[in-house]
Amino acid sequence: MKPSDLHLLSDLQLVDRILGGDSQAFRLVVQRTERLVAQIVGKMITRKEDHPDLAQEIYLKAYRSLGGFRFQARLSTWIAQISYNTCFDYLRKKKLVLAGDLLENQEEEHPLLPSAADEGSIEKMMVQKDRAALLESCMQELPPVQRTLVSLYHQQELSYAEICTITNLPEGTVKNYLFRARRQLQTRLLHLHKKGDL
Amino acid sequence: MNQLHLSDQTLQLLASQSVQLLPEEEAHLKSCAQCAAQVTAYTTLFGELKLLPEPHFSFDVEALVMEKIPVVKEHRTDKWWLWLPLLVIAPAGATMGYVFRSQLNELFSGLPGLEMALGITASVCLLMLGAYDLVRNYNQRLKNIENNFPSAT
Repeated sequence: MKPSDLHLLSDLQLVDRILGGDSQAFRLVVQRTERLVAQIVGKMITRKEDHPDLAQEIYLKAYRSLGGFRFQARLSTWIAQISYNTCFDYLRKKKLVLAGDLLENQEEEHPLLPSAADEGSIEKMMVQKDRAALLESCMQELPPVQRTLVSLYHQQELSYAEICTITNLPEGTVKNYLFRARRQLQTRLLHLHKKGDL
Repeated sequence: MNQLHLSDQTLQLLASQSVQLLPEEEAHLKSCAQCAAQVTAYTTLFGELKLLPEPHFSFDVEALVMEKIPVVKEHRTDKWWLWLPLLVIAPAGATMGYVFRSQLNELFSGLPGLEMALGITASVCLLMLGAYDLVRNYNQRLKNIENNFPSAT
């Protein structure tokens, strides 16, 4: 098989080739899943210096456990699950903040919700400034797990079922975290607007 | 209902177009500028979230990972030499059968033809199953070793 033909392989064929010792097939898996893994690692772990070690750990775990992959989900979802678990363990080891820990305090601190007077104000302010940078900075204030959920749902456009598989959270919890995260984002944007940062 | 605003959850669901409103909620939304504005704000937020630049690794993850992945020289399908013992065992068996043919004849002479055929078939089946199980176990153990000690392969 020519190297260019590798791109046509299904998950099943890829796994079979990797288990047969074809390291080029694993290279293709890395290429296919790199963006998703970067998304999860980037959102969960803000210390960029740790990213290389984490990325390496994630893919080596995937390589070593490939024999146990049962095709109950897509290969990319399975690797995303390994990424999430690895980052989660990292956060737990470092005793960093996990989902929901910051949320209640911040909501009390900024209890503003758009009122009639603010009609369209968020929309306007987002047009006026560098919207992506502003939103990104608001995202950084979310707890890691919520930040990751928002990114998986809105940026990667994964389904609830896929997100549940990756995070091992019940669907109700995923929906609830997403709801709270989006509300916090909205509130924070409005707060910045009122504070005159924009 | 017109006096009560829609819940934030409903507003978010409306913005993501994943909810069917009750008639009274729909009536409220039409008459309430605040709720309508919030739906617009959430719709904008969701659109902006989708357009956020995707994070990417600032290093070559492929190179970093592949340097740790062992290059296995032999493919599972290339293990033709596993069949070599069969080339020795089969002629040896045939030779033994030929050398001890008279003893074997004596041993089975009392048996009727059907029983003999059944016996031989069962023995061959058992031998084949045993060999299959042996090869399968061997492959499984080899795979475990590769998974647990990749540098060893």
